[in-house]
This record gives sequence, structure tokens and C-alpha cells, in this order.
Amino acid sequence: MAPMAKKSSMPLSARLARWRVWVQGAFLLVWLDPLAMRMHTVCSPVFHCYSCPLALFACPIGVLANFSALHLLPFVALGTLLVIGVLVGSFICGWVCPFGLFQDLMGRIRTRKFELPSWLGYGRYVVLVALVLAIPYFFGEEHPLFFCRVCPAGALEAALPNTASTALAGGGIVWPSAAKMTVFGLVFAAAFFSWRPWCRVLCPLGAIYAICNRVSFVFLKFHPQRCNDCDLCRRLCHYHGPAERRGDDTNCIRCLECTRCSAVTVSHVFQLQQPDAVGAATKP
Amino acid sequence: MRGNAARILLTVLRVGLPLALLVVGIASLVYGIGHHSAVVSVEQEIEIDLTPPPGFGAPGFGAPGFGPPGEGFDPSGPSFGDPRFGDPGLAGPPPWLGPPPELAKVREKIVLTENVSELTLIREITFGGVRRLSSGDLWRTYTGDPPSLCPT
Repeated sequence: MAPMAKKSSMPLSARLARWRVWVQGAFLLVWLDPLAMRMHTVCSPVFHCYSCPLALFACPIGVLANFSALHLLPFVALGTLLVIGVLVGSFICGWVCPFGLFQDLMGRIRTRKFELPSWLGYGRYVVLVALVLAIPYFFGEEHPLFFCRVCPAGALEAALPNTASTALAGGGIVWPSAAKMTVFGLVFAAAFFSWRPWCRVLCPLGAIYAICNRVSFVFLKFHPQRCNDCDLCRRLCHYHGPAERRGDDTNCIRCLECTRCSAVTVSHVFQLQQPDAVGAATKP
Repeated sequence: MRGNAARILLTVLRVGLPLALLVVGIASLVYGIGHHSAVVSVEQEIEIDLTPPPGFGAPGFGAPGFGPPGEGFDPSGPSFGDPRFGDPGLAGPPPWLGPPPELAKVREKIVLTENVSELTLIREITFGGVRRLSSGDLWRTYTGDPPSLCPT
């Protein structure tokens, strides 16, 4: 009976967290376009290359980079990211993104995991500003550091399948870009030894959602008055940064693992602040 | 009572910023889908028909009619070299002209401009279909069927 009692005392968010990989898998099926609809006029909210033979939607980062090269403002991509980001923030990273699922599965392989310093998270903003916006704007899409030319998701989801399919069709091998494959190789290798290295250090889409974490309707809330410094939340968080103590942290992917601790809960902006939480809440 | 009012005010403030950003996001989506477009230059190949009009060329070269039918020369009437004129000694094209050139149809490339919606542009960039020239013009990179693979 004791385990039953323990299970029922666990909050819904923590119980949901156990199903996260299945939710990610279900979304992967959606992104892989099972009905062959190829809706490439629409931006998806996730990091999934539109050159993938099975991509349902267009990649928002690819659209941002290409529109920057064309000197146009991508209203549809920005609107999509803003709406999704404001509604749920980086829940997209933890629950929906197919490249995140790939890294999560790699991370499950039992190897020693190294902790990355949290300041490396600023690399995402550098990639967003430099490779996605500035280089395409000033040098066009021909530049070797144009984001799509070094994107590891593009290497995994588009370059490798297309190379394989043309080779199998007898059309000769068209080798993918060496830079792209090198970046993918590094991310692939790093995923064995660290949780989600791409998401934490370089992902420009993660940078956008990280900013949105600060203002999203749904967020994680840390209740300091409930905390007894047992350090459970730190042990549950794969990122071991400040995320588990500040629900709106920019490094958090909202996997909800930390909500197994009663000091962290899922909250929303419409919830009236409790008198004991005023002044202690992490949300402005 | 005052505490409740403060909490409600705080909640309104907390809701205000996300709500404003949500409205901006929806407005951006609506504008992008419905109103935003860009001018793209498109190179198209057209076919120009250069077939000579009837009654022109050998054996009917020359003798276009002038004036209304019945007056002056009849355009549908016999042309120069026609046997009805008798034998002027030129029953065919003059030998110094050689055979008439065969210019039935030629293909010419012309540049058209097209107003392309943002949704179409999104699809075009997925296979590198639009490029910006140094002049600032947007240019479609293909004619006919779009390429199947992205250039990167």
C-alpha cells in the first residue's frame, strides 16, 4: 500500500514527466509527415529541417536565416515563435522537438555525463545573432557559416537521408557539406557524455524559447517556503544549473522532472498569488 | 481587502505582458499570412511565332495588296511569281535570295516580376528557390519544375 500512497501524492506534472519520451515520440510521428502533406508554407515551432524527405512543416530557424539573407522580415515565423513561446515557453524543447528527442535518447546510453558550465548557454544567443541573423544579412546564403550550412539537424534529417537515397537509387553519391557533417559529428559525440549538448550550448531556437520563458503564460514556480534544502530538485534536474531553483530560468527545458519535489510546481499567470508567496515567487 | 486588491493588480500586471506579446504574435501571423508579399523577378522562356503571314514569301513573296478589297491590289490575289501573271521569267524566288529562312518559332527569355506572398516565399526558400541579387532584387533561381533539394 505504501507505493500506492506515494504515487497518489505525486503531482500530476511529475507523473506526466514519466511519459515525456512517449509524447516526444508521438510528436515525432507528426513532424515526419505520415500523410505526406508537405505543408512547407507553414512554420513548425520545432527544430526540424525542411529538406528532410519526411518533413511536414518548414523549420522556423531556416526561415529566419533565409529571410535575413533576402532582407525581408519573416512575419509568419516570428508570429509562430512568439505565440508558441508566450504560451508555453521551452516546453517545446523538452516535449516536442525531434532533435531534442534524438539527444535525449543518446543521453540514455550509460556513459559518464559531464556537466557543462551554465555560461555556455550564452552560446545559443551568439549563434542566433551571428549565424542566423547577421551573417545571412550581410553575406547572404553563400557564406560557409550561413546557419543551414552548419546545422546538425539538417545533417541528420536531410543530408544523410538524401545522400543515402540518391546512392541507393544509383544516382551517384552527392557528399554532404563537410562543415555540416563535422558539426553533427561533434554534437553526436558530445550527446554521449552530456545531456542535450546542442540544446544547451548552441541551439538558436532554444535561445528564442529561453527568452520567452521569462514571459510565458505557463511556467515553473519555485516555492522557497516549501524547500527544506533536501537537494532533490538538483538531483532530478539533468542540467544541474540554476534551473531547478528558478522556474523561469533560460536554461530550463521544462521536462518537469523537478516537479517531483513539492517545492517546484507548474503554474500560470492567471493564478492569483498566495499571500505566503508574495515576494518569494520567481515570476514578476 | 487592500491585500486582495494588490494581488489582483499584481495578477493583471503579470498577465499584461504575455497577453500583449500574444496579441503581437497573432497580429504578426495574420499580417504575414494575409498581407505580406515581396516582388520577385522571374525569368521565363516564351515562344515567339515568326511564321510569315500567308501570301508572303516564295512563291508568293511580294505583291501585298493595298486599299480595301476590290480597289487597288487584292491582298489575296496572285502574288509575284504566280503563274497567273504569266511567265515573267521569275517562277520562284530569285536565285540570289536563296531559300527562305525557316523562322517558324524562336524561344526568348524575358524577365517578369511577380508579387509573391510570404507563405509561397517560405516554401520557395526550402529548396533555395529565391535569391537576393547584389542589386537588391529578389530573383527566382529556377524555371520550370522547382529543384528537389536544398542547396545547403
